[in-house]
Amino acid sequence: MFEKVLTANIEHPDSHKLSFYEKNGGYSAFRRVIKNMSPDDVIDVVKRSNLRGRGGAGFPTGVKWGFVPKSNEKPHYLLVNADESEPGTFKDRLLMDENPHIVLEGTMIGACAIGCNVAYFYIRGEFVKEAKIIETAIGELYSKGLLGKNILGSGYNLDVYVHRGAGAYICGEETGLIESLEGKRGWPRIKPPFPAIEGFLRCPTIVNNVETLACVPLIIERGSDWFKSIGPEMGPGPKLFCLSGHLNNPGVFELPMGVNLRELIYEHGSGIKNGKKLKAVIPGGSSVPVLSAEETDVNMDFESLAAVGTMLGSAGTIVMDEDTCMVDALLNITHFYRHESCGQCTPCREGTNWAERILKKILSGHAEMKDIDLLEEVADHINFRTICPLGDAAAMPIQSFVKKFRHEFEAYITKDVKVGQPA
Amino acid sequence: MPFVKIDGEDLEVAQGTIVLEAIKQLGKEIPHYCYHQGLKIVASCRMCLVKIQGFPKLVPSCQTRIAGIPREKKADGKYDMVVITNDQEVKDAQESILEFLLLNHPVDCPECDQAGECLLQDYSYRYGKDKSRFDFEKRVPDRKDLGPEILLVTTRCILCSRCVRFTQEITGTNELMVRNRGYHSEINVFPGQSLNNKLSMNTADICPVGALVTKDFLFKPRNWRYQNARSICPGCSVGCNIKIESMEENNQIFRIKPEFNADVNQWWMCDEGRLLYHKYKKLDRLEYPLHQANNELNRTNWRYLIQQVQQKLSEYSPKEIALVGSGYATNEENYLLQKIFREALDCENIAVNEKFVRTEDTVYPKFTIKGEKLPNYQGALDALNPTINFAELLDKIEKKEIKAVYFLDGSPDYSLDDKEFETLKKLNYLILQDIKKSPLIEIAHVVFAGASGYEKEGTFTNYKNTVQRIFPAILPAGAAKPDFEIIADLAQLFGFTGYLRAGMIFPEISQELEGYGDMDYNRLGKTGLPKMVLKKAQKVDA
Repeated sequence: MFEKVLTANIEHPDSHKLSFYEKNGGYSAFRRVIKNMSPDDVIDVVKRSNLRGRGGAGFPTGVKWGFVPKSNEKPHYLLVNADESEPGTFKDRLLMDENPHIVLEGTMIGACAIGCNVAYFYIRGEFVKEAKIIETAIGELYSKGLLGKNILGSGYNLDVYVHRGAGAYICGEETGLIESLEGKRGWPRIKPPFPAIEGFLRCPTIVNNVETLACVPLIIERGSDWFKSIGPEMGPGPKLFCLSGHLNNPGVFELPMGVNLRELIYEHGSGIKNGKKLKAVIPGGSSVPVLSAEETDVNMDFESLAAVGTMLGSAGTIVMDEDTCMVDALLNITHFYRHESCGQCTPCREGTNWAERILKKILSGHAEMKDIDLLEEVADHINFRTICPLGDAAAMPIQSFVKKFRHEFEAYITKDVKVGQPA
Repeated sequence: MPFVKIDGEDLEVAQGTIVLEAIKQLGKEIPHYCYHQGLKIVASCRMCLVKIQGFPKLVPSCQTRIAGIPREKKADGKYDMVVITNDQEVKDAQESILEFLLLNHPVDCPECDQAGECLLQDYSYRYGKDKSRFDFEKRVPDRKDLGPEILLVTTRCILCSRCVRFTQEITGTNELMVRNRGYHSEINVFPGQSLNNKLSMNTADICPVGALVTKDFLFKPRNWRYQNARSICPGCSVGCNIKIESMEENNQIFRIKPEFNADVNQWWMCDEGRLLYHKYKKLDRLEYPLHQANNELNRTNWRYLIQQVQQKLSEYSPKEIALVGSGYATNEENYLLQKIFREALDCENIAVNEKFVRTEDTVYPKFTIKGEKLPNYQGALDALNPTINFAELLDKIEKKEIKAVYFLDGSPDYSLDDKEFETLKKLNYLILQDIKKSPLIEIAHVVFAGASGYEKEGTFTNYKNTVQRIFPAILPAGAAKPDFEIIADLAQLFGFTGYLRAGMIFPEISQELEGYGDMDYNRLGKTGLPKMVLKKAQKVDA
């Protein structure tokens, strides 16, 4: 039986309090790190755990930490990416709401590992409540001497600040986040240099997702072998899945990495609403390629999903029933990326807008067959040609929706279909 | 040095060279908008995408640096990088980026001032599609008056952000920004700001399309209708390299733009220098040689007047005459004139006109506008090797020790004060060589009508001791002559022959003047070459 570790106590009314968290063994990992472990030890344990980033890209966390130069010529920074805004994703929010201290403990261990004395919590602007909870939690840590100067007599100093974003999706892209934190427009940077070498204020910087950091205290506490034993070895661990869409029981579910998508939908999500049939699932947040109902016998982990041509992303699983109009659904997604495109580079700025307008034209019934091909071509011209992954994120849904549900797009042209009605 | 293969051609480049520059070194074109050598790399237009062997996707050639790699990793055992710029995938990318950029572009070339020198136009012809597939209404943002010299035709903007970076990096004045997000992005000034720095018009130069236009060039004839002269700006002692666009049919200048010179002005010039031709155009010019007889100034002919001057100067004793050279004159003019005075007239009263406009230097992070508002003060000092200063000269005139002066000017401003004027009035014989009508002509006995810096050839030496050639773009006003011709005609009467053109005296300059030693007039620079190889003169006894 899988044991919940990230969300074990979230039902308890005091789950967000330091006293409650400590009573349940909280901050023992941090104490161990600060007393008995060198930064290299910490990085090594995390590397061996095969923890992969939970923000979307799935980059190995320990490896990322290892990129930070060992020298201390410039200050190092750890930035917590709490700008969770991928449509269909609401896991970091839950962690910050109900278990903020596990995130903060992970942040503090990460800070020790990369030798940083200042960490920033970059929280999405709309997360007003979460910002307050994190700020309160940070206050508790200062008053207990767990943050600030000479923590627990170790000589180590760490300050953690909360920075609220202004609600731009692009500021969740790590270099966009860094620019925004520096007070500039959230325009992603060109790489290299990578943030680990030259990031915030041109200093070595690590940007980690909230859920990624929440896994870290557990890895320190229980060991990398324990972590690796959960799910597939090359991308293991407990994982928060966000179920949304036409389900009887949507919500956040903590399950082992690699849970079968069908199990996720029919057992944890209690099946499709109103006894309808499943049509499609977006497994990892709105930016990843969609799966048709036939493709849903797949395990929810990085490698299995890559094998069927999609991605785990942020594990924001959006379920669509048989009544869903896929053209309308795609318009919804494309509208989002058009609206959130930062406008810095040409393909994304111009392409997302063009794609949205073609989709509207198709929905209006005035399109021709060649418009569907054009839509695909526009997506191909955005994909892989932009500075940051937002371009790809906008292109992949278009490519996959058109490829897998082309008949629905064609129905708007060949038949007299009204907007919002399934083909 | 890293060794690369670009479209099958081998090339050795310096470590860290960007791929785009390596491609240019081969003489190939790689289309680009946001990249500008003088500005930070942003790689945002995505026009310069190329294929690099071993990379999973196309990469911007402006952003990718070439570095040496370990022997075992080299392609074919020898290449540090293999670049492809001309296969179908790259061509498709170029075509698609152009298609994106043109979606909302008004294609108003017939009424756009950039037509003919527009990178959007040029690349569309070379790399673009011939038809638009965009059948929606275009976005039409308003035009914006950004500042005293610059207008933004927002519809034409492709958001390359060169102008924004210019105000961030070169001037440090930060007036410009990108406003709004995504599809609604627009260039604008910050609220309450105006693009009014002294280098603002450079933003129109670096704008690859017709979005930023100078008000000065609005609705003027197309660029291909002009004749071009590469020359040096006569506006201050920086000596910015310029391209003068003029028309032969009306002998008018229409536009002045900076030309690249790594050591002098890079890609830039100041707005004042750019618009200086208006000041010369409005100037009340001397158009004829004038001669004073019976208290009246009369038009006369050149030959007669020069003979008169030769005779008159010879009548005085060497101590009674003096020469005042000019920082507006070329090195050749000043040099030949002092040669006449020193060698033919045995005169040692050689001064330089120290009365010119001097203001504070304007210093920007990456550009300095000199307050010394004349082009060749350093050169005048070198060529004349003055023996007395201007104040001493006036003193000697007051004391009647000096009775005749050859006053070479050429400045567009009259800058003598009343006292100096009264002193000069006491001269028995004043030869004035100038371009403008000023109070001085009333007291001069002879007036030679000369040429402005846009109308003659020769060399200027800037404040950093760079010797650069100037070239005439238009003809002098009326019957006025280039100053060197006037002086050469006079020199001939003194027995110095063979100075038909400025270049013919340059061997003497390089022989006689310290620091000009190994210079050759014809190798100083040639109009039309992208780079001028200039030799630095050493400062004369600084």
